[in-house]
Amino acid sequence: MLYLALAQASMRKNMAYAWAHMANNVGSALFGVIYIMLWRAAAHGRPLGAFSPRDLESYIAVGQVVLWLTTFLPPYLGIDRHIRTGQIALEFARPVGYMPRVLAAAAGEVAYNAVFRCLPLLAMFTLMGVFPWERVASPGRAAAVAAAFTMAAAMGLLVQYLVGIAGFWTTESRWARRLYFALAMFCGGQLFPLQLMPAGLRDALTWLPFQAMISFPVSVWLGVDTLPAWTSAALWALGLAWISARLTRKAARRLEVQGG
Amino acid sequence: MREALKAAGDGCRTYGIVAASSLRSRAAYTWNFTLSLFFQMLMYSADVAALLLMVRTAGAIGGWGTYDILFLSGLVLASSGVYRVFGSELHNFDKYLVHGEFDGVLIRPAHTLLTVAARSIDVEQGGAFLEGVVLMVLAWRHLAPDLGLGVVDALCAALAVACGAVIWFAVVTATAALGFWTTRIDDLQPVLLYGPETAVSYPLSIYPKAVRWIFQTILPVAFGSYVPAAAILRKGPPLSDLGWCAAVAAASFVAALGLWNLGVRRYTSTGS
Repeated sequence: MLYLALAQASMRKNMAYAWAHMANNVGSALFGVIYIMLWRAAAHGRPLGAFSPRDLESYIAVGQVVLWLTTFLPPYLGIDRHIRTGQIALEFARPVGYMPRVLAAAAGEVAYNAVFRCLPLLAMFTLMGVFPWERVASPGRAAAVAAAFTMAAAMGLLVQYLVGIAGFWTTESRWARRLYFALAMFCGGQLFPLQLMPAGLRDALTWLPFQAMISFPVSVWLGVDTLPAWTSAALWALGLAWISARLTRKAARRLEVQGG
Repeated sequence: MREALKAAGDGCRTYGIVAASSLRSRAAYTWNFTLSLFFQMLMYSADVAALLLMVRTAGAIGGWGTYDILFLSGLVLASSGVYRVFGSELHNFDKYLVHGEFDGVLIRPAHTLLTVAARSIDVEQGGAFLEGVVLMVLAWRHLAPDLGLGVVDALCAALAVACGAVIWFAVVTATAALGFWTTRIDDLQPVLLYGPETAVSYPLSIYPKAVRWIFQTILPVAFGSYVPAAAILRKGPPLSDLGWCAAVAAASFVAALGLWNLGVRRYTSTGS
């Protein structure tokens, strides 16, 4: 119940900026349009690998929506601010676990993004005729998409949490965030689908956590998902939850607060 | 005239002092600085790798081959890298407006734009510039023999980077200046800065006419990227078009400065 209240509070906080975020949605749609134009020019009406020109456009459109659930989350989930200001001591002293509290608040942000970021983007891409609604026509596909999106969002939160908690071991974690973005975008197949990559690279990236955040949910929507992709996503979600919990305990033991 | 020159000299000296102190504070964290620079370059490499994979799969994009696109992307990275280093404070300008920190800027002896820009020289962001130059050189080595590129073209490429840098600085200044009316600018940046920056990293010919028109008029970022790259790579426009690029860069900066000054007059501070 507490965690639900935290998520709701986080969502309400964001709603104060809903109109400002609409401008940002235009920017996000703009990126989608740029990449769609790029793929349109690259494909030139031909299929590329297993993707028809329409599939490539759909891949980008679904990908832009997915990014708001998995990748474009508050930097470090606010953990860096807790560390920098010394607030972290108070946070660890609370009677409820730090990790579930941070993740619950961040889940509220994801819920906000789903309504105020993803839905407007869906509407824009639908109006442009590039959103592949026809791919989730059956209840079975819709259920698979719902499961994949939930798993991807959980992965996004856990990876961001790890990036934030890295701040305990560095004086700042800007570099960690850069590394995270570089890996998430390329290894996640944001612009270039994993399915089109050379076989060796594709197979290696399938077993990294980043594919579970972009390529995996998009592929499930398009119906080109594979068993290894599902397995990899599930294993990573469990593995990252375990690593995050362990690191949080280590971080608590390492905690040093200065001031007075 | 003498007064104006003296004011400009004083402004530059103040900028130098504030910028040097900003650099010293950054240098205190060598390990973080090095890691940030490295990962910054890795981040851009990932973008370039995805693009190269795309060109490899498709053959060419809009008539531009792998090395043409490498050169264009390098040019955009190198020129935008300059604004990332020298305009990082403008990039985060809304904090001055939200918390009323701009009050303190108004009482400084130098021009407000110079004072804000000097407060943070983000050398770590120089990774974009370095990587851009490396990409341009790589592309150059492959393209030069076929296209007969020589010293004049190399000078033109350097001029193109400079024009691009001025245009991006003008865009980041104008976006920050809009904050005097909108208070927050972080939601404007994807539309005015990041989107256009990504768009012109690819050949302009892939976009519809209306988009090309926007990038050549209202938001003339094509003059720091596609136009000079197309001229240097012999894709239509003559090299003399770089004169236009320089003129557009100067005009963009003057226009952005005008918008900034207008915004400063409108600034009403904030309070609790």
